[in-house]
Amino acid sequence: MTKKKILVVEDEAELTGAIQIRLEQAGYEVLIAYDGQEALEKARTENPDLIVLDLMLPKIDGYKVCRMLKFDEKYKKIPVVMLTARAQEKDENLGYEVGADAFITKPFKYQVLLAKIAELLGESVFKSL
Amino acid sequence: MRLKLKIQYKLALIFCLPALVLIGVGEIIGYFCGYHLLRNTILVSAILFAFLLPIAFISGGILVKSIKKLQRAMEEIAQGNLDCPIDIKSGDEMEQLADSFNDMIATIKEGRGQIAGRSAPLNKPIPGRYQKILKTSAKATLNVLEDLVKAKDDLELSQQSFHSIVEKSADAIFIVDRNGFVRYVNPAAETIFERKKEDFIDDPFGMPLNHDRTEIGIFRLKGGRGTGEMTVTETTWLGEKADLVTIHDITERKSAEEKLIKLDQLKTDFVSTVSHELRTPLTIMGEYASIISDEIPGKLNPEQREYLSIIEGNIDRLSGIIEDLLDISRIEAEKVVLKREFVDLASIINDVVTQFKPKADEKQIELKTVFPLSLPPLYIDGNRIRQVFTNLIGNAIKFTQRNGKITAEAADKEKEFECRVTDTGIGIAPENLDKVFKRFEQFDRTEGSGAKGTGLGLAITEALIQLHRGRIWVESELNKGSKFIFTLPKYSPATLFQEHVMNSVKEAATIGSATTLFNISLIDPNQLNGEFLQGRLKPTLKDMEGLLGKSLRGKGDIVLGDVDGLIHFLVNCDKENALRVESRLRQKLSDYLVSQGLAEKVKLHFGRATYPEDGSSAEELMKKARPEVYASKA
Repeated sequence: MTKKKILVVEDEAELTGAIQIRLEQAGYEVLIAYDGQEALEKARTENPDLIVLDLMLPKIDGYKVCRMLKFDEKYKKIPVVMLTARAQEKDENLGYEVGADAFITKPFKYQVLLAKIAELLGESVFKSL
Repeated sequence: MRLKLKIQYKLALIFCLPALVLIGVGEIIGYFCGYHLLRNTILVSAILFAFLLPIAFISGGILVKSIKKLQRAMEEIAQGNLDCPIDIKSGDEMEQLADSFNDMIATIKEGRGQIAGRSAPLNKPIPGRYQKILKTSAKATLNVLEDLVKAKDDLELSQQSFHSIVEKSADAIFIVDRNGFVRYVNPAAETIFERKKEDFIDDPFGMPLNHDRTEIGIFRLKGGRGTGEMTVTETTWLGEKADLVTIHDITERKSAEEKLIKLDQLKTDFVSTVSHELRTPLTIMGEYASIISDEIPGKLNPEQREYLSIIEGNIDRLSGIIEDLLDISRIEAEKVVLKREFVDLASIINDVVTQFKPKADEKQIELKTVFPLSLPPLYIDGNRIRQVFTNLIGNAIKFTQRNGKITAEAADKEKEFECRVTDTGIGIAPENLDKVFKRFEQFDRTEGSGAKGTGLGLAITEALIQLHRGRIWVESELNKGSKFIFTLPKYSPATLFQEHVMNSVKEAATIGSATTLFNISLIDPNQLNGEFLQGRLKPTLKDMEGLLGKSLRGKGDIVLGDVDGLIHFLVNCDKENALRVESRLRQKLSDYLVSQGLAEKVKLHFGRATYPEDGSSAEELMKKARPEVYASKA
């Protein structure tokens, strides 16, 4: 069974490093983008199965990236997990408006992220833990 | 005199000339006849002259006398004296002339006499009845005169009042005629705009005048800029319709407002920036620590594991402190908004207790809960109340020794809910009781269990309870234990909703605007789809609520739906705009229902009532907006 590809978009390199370690541990292939523009490019070229998207990004921010992907016929099926700072209602509302599939607030426990990813990819949740 | 002489000389000449001629002719004839008449001629001539000259002079004199009479009479007449008839009875043309003059004088005299004759009656006494009329008219005239004088005084007084009000007003006052030209400005206008009266008068006012309060920019002559609040009312000026424009200088207030807005923005930015900047390194540290702890890069020896565990523990501790600090600053900056929902309090308490069970077991503390069998749902922010219980139970465990007992309770007390967390711990000294909820206060720091507090926990708890409009207090005895009690007011949907409506009406009344109450309900017209509808009703309503929230976006208030399937909301608009809002929302919601495949199964019903047109109180509005529902609730 081929590994599922997950695109992690986060501008803090160290944090993406940690996320990558955890995701690879769980058996996923991990791609990384450090800004919004790169995210869109990688999404187009690599065709990931899921995108973990931080909101605070340089160049193009998380919301715009999400909207662009979700409004595009080719990419709108890719589930998007948004990483937000402390659950502020407006962040979530805005997120839903642009089509995000899930929200995780930072700081998060990696288990929460893995569970969400598994859920969105239609996999058994227990597999990831 | 001269005249007299001239005429007489002339006459003398006229008389003597022919005589001379005769004598001359006689001489010539005599000469030819041989007579020597020279001696005789001289004699004859002398005799002739002796007779003729006096005759000439006398007749001349008689004529002149008549002329002189005429002349004197003329002089008299010229003076205005018409009573000098000219008396010439010479029986010749002179007399005729004199008579003509006399006739003329008589005519003039007659004319004068007529005039004189007319005024003669005035010298007669006035009959009685005319006297009365005169007296009354005189009195009336006097009264009119008195009134006029009084009116003049009143006018002066009112002018003074006008002067003292308008001229001394600190607000700029303009009178602008119907064509938009300035007719009057008061001194305050000159001060505020730094211009002289003359610069304004007869010039166009330059701004559209609508009868709402508007904020305008004040452009002062010397380049300064300010803000004014302009009110326009209709008035008359010198008999014609005009506009009264009052401008209140709010430059200072505006700049204070702007400063406040900037400060508020600064607070928000500070909190979000700090929060992000503090959390990121902590998250990274925590992540890598846990990766190492999970032995992904390689196995750990026991010492490494122990030290790593200490590191992780302190990362958690630091996280907790930062979260507390951020929480309290957000609460203080009034950036925290409660997300109220109807929640089951029992399940929240149970969750927290379950979370602390391991810790309690470690210290062999008995942790139990007490609440009635059925606790009605509370309209609260579940997460925040969870936070409160976490703090209270956490504290209880911290400050209770081994084998102690902690109880978490909830009770329904008619008007409110009362919750208690009781412990058999070390208690609080009486002198410290009032400091318990203060920030950064800590007493009797525990030995052992590691995590020391920041002293913020209770401060945050108190703030959260107060945001819920509840009260919190503590009862404690040293070495016996403490009891933390807090109340949460009850909010039935009706009370809550009524409160919202009342506040909205009050606000509208204060600022003089309108507000409209809308009710939307989904009705099942066929009563057949009962089952189907039950399941989908709540989520459908929730979705509709969300849609409404986005459509109204801050201009209105969304209040939760009732259990009967109603969404109530308030919009700050008047009746006219309310109609527009309704039709727009109807469209949106119908589209949504169609998209959900519910268009056939349910009917959308709108109810609407506007303050002040449809009602002057919350009750009236609520009745009007949805008669059936509220009648049945009554």
